[in-house]
Amino acid sequence: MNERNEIRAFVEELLRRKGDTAPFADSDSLILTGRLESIDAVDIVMFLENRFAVDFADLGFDQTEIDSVDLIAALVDRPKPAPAKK
Amino acid sequence: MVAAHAAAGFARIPEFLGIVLPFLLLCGALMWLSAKYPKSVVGRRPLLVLMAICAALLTIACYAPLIGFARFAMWAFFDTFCLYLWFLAYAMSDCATAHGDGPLLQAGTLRPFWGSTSVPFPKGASHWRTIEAKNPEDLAVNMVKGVKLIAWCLLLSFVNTYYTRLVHERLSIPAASDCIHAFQLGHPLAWHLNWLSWPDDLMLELLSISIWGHTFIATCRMAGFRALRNTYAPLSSRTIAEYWNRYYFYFKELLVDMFFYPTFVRCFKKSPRLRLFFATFVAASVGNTLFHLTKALHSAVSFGIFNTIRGFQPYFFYSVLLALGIGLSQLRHRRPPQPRGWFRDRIVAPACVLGFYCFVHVFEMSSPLTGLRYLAFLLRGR
Repeated sequence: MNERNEIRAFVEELLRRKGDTAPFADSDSLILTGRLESIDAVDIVMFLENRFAVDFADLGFDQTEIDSVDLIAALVDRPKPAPAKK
Repeated sequence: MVAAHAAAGFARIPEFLGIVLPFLLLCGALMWLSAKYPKSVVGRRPLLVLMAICAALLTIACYAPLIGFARFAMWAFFDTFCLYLWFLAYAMSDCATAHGDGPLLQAGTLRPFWGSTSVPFPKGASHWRTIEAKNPEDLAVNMVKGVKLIAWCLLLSFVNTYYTRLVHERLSIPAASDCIHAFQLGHPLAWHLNWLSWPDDLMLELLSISIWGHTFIATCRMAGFRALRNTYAPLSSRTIAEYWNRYYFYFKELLVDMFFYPTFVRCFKKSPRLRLFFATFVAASVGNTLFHLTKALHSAVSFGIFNTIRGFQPYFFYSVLLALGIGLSQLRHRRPPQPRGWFRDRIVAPACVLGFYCFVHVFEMSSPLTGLRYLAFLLRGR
């Protein structure tokens, strides 16, 4: 499964848990339109941290950057800052 | 005409030069700095910077040897800054992003024409961009939704009028504040009136927030933005956290954006449950108190800084109770509660949630000690 499919599967699962089984496109807004709540963004943050090692403490958190599958995939693809040398 | 202008303020050049212009320059400078240096503290931690400026302005206003117009201008400037603080926080955050708009466009989102409190309705410019109508069909749909919401708002206004007449005039149920006041004076009102006043107060607050919130959002929708409602069916909430989300959505969003996420992405990353609880606690207690404190800091002109801050101790206690309730509710119902039958879901659970909010509301309106004594009176009946 590639990254985008994995992200999409996770978002689908989040929506399904809320009883939302309506179809959505990868570009559809999910949080800002109210389909997912702010608290659901917490699940997305933890998923991205654990699965793709995204560190929001470094990046700075912006809800609009995880508002759709496309945006999340772009965030994951973004080059990560090099780890500090010891 | 001249008198009317003078009463409205800023009819004279010194007032414009001393208050309005410096404020505009400060707003412009902060947004420009955020856009120019997004990796600096101004771009990454706008709220921290705004709070530091707020503290500096308050200190100058309170302790600088200013008299006459200079003193007036300083306090007016400070009060204006506090009124725009949360708008600026959103604008600066947006300026610091790669796709953010420039300061001039951001200025259009500060206190929009459809109205707002100190809370931006809806959130900052990045949010506006997302919910803006993309084509004529979108615009038409948004406008119709706005009209529907204003019709609902009108209906609620009628309900509010008749409810108030029925409960306060016919049934003579007093306001909760009157009950607390009478209790403090040592002459408590009848026990059943005390009990009835709290759900009544909550109901009136719900009606009031729904009416003004819907008015803002309906107008915003008619302007072409697909904004979510500020209050959405709070009486159907099955958990404390759900009610908090449905009661005053944009205030909750402000706390989430400014306090919850920054805490969540930095603290206790190894322990998911503690991390969630702590971030919720910080947002609902510290953030909540700080928000209300910034709205009241102008009273430092009469009472001084320390007395004004000390006056917020009871509110902080209330917000700690509230934060504990919301935090624990969130941990307990990490997943949406499973259906447990109509009666439990539609009657018992919402009644328990409203009971909790009535309970904390006592502490919102009184000091912790008075609140505890009053609750003991409610339970004992004497």
